[in-house]
Amino acid sequence: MKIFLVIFLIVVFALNTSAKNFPSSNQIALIKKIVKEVHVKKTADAQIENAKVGVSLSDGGQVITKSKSLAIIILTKDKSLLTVRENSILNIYQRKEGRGLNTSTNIEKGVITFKVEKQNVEDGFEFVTPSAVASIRGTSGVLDVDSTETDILLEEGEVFVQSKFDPSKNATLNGGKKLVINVDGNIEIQDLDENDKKKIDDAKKTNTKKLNIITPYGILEIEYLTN
Amino acid sequence: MKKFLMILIYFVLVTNSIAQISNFVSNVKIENAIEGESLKLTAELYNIENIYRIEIVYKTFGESEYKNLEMVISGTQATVSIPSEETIPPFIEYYLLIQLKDGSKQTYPLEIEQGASPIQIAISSKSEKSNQVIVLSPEENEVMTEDDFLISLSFVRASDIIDITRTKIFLNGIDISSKAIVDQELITITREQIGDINLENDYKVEIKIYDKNGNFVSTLSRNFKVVSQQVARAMESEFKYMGLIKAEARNENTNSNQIFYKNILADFNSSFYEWQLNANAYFTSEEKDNLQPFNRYSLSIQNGDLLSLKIGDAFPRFPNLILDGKRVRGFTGELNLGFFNIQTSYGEINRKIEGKLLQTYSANDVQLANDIISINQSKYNAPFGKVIFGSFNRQLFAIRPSFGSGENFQLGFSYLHSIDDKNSIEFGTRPKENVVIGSDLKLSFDNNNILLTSQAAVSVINKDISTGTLNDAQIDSIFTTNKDLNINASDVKKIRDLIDKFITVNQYLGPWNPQKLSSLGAESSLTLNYFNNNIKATYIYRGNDYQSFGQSYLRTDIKGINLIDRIRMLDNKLFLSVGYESLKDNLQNTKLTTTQFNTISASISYFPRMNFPNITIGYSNNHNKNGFDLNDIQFGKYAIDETTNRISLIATYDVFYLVKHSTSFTFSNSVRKVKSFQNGDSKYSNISFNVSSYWNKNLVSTFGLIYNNLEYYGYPFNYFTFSIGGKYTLPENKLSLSGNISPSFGDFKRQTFELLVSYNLLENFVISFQARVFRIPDKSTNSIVGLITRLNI
Repeated sequence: MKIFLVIFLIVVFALNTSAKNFPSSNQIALIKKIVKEVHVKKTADAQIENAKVGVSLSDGGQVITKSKSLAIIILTKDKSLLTVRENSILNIYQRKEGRGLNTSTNIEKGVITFKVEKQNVEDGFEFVTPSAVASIRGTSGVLDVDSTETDILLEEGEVFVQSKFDPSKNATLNGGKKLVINVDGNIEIQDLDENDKKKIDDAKKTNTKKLNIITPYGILEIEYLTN
Repeated sequence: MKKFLMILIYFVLVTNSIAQISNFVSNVKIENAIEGESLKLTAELYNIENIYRIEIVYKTFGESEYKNLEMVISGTQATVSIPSEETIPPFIEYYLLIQLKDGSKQTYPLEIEQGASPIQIAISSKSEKSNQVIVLSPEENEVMTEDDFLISLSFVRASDIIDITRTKIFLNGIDISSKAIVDQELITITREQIGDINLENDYKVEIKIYDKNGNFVSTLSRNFKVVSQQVARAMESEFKYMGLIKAEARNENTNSNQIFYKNILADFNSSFYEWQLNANAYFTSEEKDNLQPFNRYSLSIQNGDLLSLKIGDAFPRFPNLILDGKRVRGFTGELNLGFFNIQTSYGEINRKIEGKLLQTYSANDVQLANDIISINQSKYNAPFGKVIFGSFNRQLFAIRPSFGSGENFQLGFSYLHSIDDKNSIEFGTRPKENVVIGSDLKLSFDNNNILLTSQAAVSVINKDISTGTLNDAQIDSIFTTNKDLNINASDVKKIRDLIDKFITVNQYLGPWNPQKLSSLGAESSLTLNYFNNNIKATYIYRGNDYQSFGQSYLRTDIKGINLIDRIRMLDNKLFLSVGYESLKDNLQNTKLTTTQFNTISASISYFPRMNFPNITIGYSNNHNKNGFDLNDIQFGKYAIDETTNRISLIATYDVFYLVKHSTSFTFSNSVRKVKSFQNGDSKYSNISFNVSSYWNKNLVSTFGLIYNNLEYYGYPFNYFTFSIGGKYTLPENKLSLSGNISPSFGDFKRQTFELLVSYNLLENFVISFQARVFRIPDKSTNSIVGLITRLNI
């Protein structure tokens, strides 16, 4: 009886301690939707080409949106969604550390709407802008970036933000708040006001609608974004 | 060859069978028996005119305490969903408790109280590997345009054993795997790959995943819709809505009684950004003043998890010692801010039902009896009357503020007050009042791998508030005139004034022995989830006087421990579960002796997700014993010493021979040995076998066998049932026909015939005809004939 017990325990132990190794990640994200003119570089070394639904981005991949355009990209590791609004440039990188996948998006300019899924303990997600590094574990909001300043409008969750040039200047931003950080590392946090909320709503609009107005001089077509 | 051998072995097992019969339930359909997902059960009913209420009584593996949930009766169906937190492998055991309008009860399956075994539902686990394959697109029920058409899978998280190139993708049953672009860890199919065809349609995409040896691992599926740009624009309006109206007219012929039923159900759901508005109503001709309500209606508004407000019928869920499973007609709502949350419910849980005056008595000829009470003499010309008691209108108010989101921490405090309106009816007895206060705590660490939950509540009940609170004169008459009591009347008045703010204070207020924790209910559990072991240890304590009007089914006068370990192996394919429970009663020494209830249970499940049956084998041993010796002359008749041993087997398997045949086989055997002078032993065996064959997309056939063998107090009760049926859908799904014939033989004889015809008059309008005939040889032939219309808005 004891022998059976020992064998059983060995088998159970062996079955339970078999380590799992994730394969390295090659494709970081996938283009799920495009509106109007969007260009991509699939990898850091690739040529710029017109974006199509279903195109994947690997380490160093880039998305460029033109005027009145947008692209929705979805991360292959956890289905997090990033919407790259018009006139924006986003670069994406990912590295494997142990069992974890750390994703980094470098935004040179523009507006990004994000809905980042809650990250596993081993994983990470961060936005890097000319003025800040924002670490996220699962949250949604809008990032508005230019060369001197980064605005983060947070709907829910929590973001840890630090100055790109002086990490000692940092803050934690909670849902319902707005953070502004400039290249000098100055940080301001305030509640979302009505304008901010409208900005978030506008940034969520990803569908186009057309309105035709018949005039004596012809048909005037107005195309606009909506939810 | 191996495959045929396995099929042969599997069918050889099916030599005898058991099944369930009932005078009220035709069959029970089960959807989605998967770990961590709510489990919906639908019972098809007949003899509905006799049914007052149906409850599902269920428990998870290793527990001896059953939980009850009321089923919602709608037309000829009763439905219920077992909450997702209760769907834990290896299985759930359940039976249905059918309360009849004449006050009697029946179970499904029959004879549960005589030793018949409850039904087991195997709960299959989720494959960790299927969790690791991510469907990037589409989302479930996504609506997309042709330009946005995208099917995509990510294998970034998949195990090394998965072979991405073997993945099969079916779109509405058609294999489109050859169109997929497989690029390292990603599979995509876009509009470009599908080709230049019109894609506007409803779709179901099924993805079958295989390992490197070609073994099937798991299936994933998503439903989605492709629409034109114009339709997409219309659907992308901020305001979305959908609705359903269903009307039924039904004639039931039971024992020569003809009863005509009518009911109408309306359901409306709409959304505006994050807000959802839902309204539903069910009105039936079965609604009667002398019964609790059959009609149901509610209107609710919800904003995600943040806010929920509901008016009408609701089944609020508070900590289960306080309020759980009760229908409350009134207002129910909750606000969850995370750091602070509040949940409340206020409304009627029992409708007033007036009693009946049967006979009057003068003061001279009145007799002493429970049902003879004083009545309004001026109204009835007599001071006393014999009555059938009605039931009072009972109102309930519950509130639970809590702190913390519940993700890692939550501390809650609950208060419940429930009272009978003593003036709501004329002929009633002993209106009652109940107050319960409690607290609950949840703590979790290390990604929920360590989970501590705890709750405790204290109840106070007044068993007769008809005379109201004691007045000063009454208190003085007791405590001033009886100096021996050595209690100051003014102190009593102060205490009365304090307690009276919460509950009526009089001689019927209890418990009388609170210092003995008689009205305390408490339980605490610690769950550890490490090394593929899920260990849960629970301690429960419920005093003999603990009672909450918000919870009707709690077992009281019991304390003890419950230990369960569920061991997952081979990527959740193999489960070994063991449990031990030790409980005892007589906590306040209110019984002659204490009874000890000990249960050990074990189960092993194998869910191979390949060409071999899913199998669950279970064993349990329950021993109940009290302190009396059977041979004791004075107390021997109260002696309890009984042992029940039970074994069970559930096997399901999809056989592919010409077409797919989904088969299931169950076996259950229990033997109860009772040491007593009477022969209280019982034996029960049940075997059932069912097969559903999918001949093509329009034709499905079903075949079932059941064998049941019960011996109770030495009397056998055996029967055998077989059923054969099918469903045929005409092309384009305009017309569907389904029928079933099911005769039973042996000690239970019955023949049943069922027919359902549905026709889609319009795309959103369906008309159905339903006929059921039940014949009990030499006794009766009963029938149900109904017409159902259904309109989707």
